[in-house]
Amino acid sequence: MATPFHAEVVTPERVLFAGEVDEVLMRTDVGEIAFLAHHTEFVGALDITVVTVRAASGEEGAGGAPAEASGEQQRFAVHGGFVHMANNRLSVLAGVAERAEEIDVARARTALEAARERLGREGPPSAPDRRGAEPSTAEPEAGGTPLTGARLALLAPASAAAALRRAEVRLQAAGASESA
Amino acid sequence: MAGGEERELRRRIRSVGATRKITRAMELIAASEMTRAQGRIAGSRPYVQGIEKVLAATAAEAVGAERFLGRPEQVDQALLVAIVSDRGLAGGYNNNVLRTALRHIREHERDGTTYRLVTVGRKATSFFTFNGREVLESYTKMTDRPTFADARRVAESIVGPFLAGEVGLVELISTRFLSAGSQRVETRQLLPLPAEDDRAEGERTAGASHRDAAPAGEGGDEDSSGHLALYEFEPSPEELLQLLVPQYAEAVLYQALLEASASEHTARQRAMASATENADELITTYRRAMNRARQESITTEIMEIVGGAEALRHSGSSDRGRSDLGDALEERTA
Repeated sequence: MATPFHAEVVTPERVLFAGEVDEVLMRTDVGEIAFLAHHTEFVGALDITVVTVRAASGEEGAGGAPAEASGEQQRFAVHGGFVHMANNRLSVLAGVAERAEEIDVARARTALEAARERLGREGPPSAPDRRGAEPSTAEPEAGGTPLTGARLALLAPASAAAALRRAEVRLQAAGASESA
Repeated sequence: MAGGEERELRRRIRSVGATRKITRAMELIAASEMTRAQGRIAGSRPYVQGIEKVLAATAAEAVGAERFLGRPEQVDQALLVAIVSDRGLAGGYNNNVLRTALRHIREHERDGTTYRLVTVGRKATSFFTFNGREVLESYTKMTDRPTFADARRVAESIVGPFLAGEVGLVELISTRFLSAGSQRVETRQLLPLPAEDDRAEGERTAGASHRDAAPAGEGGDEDSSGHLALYEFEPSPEELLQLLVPQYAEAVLYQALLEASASEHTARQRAMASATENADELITTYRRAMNRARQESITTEIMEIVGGAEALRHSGSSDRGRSDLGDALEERTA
């Protein structure tokens, strides 16, 4: 059932992933989205998010053998960016992105703490409070016009709120829940 | 008498030889850095092309985004980003960029545009300060091996003023790395996001191609531009375009930094190769002169000795014939 299609995760420095996949999951500015083959042409801005790539199972491009168990999953921590789907090719473009297995969990934890502290000091200038590593769905509350989602990631990458999100996402991608 | 000149030349040969060692080493380093930089340019291409694809798709659909897109008609305040190197010894590399930049500024000042500068590379900072230009921000230690974080820092200093409306135009002047054999100084529009035909063109042609974003809005006449109309956007194209501003600037700056770096290393390699060659030539010339001087001094010495012997022979008893010089001297002193 799952027809493989081409997907890539690209950073300015290198191509982190490129290959045939069955499914790619991520979170855009608007919400969670899953890409399957022949998804309509799409352009979206990415939140700070985990991008999960389910690699194509069977032999590459072998007409999509319906293997439910499917190929291996790969996760990436993506610090905001864009996603572009056209002609059955998906590109995730991110200024900064890391492969899950390359994430330094200890460093991410430290960053998380530092960001929390900073956020406490600076107050929540732009982002609503997010608890836990689980990214809850859209919450455009708080006073003024808070920066959230992709706007936070792309327009205020230096803010404490963005740093906090990044640390959370890195931990999530690495499979290390923050309470552990 | 003799020996003085020879000694002097020997000293010079040694000194040129030492310099040659340095230029040769710099040449080799520059060559390897250039190869590395070329690899990084290639590595950055997929990202930059991706961002451009996103931009093209979005720009075609965005309504009322003239502020972010196309070439502004009248600009009061503009920023010029100039990318050169921290060090010299790279032939005309720095000067080519800086002179072009200054000419560009002077030309547009006549149209009432005030330019401020964002410089990358120590050489640019000193140049523009010397020329009495206002340098808003200057960055150093980036051009040897630029990273994306470097590009981000430069982008921050231009995106802020642009989004705040303080500047209406940001341009970039740097050396494009076309191939190992060909680099070219190029002026490009960075912000607002250049319209499609401008990007394709690569070279900026003033006011030639202001693209009307307005008619793209209504779906009706959109069929002419083909499949672009089928895109789904999240969030809206207008919002996306706004988000694209910093990302596009970073991507273009990153590529510009990489290309400038590769060009710099190429220029340095070439300059150092010719310096090494010069040193070789100098050494050959000096060595010839030195050998001639040595030969001359030997000849002079022989002449003197022979002359002295002759004189002795004539002054001594003639029947002695041509005795050995040592005997003659010995006898004379005895």
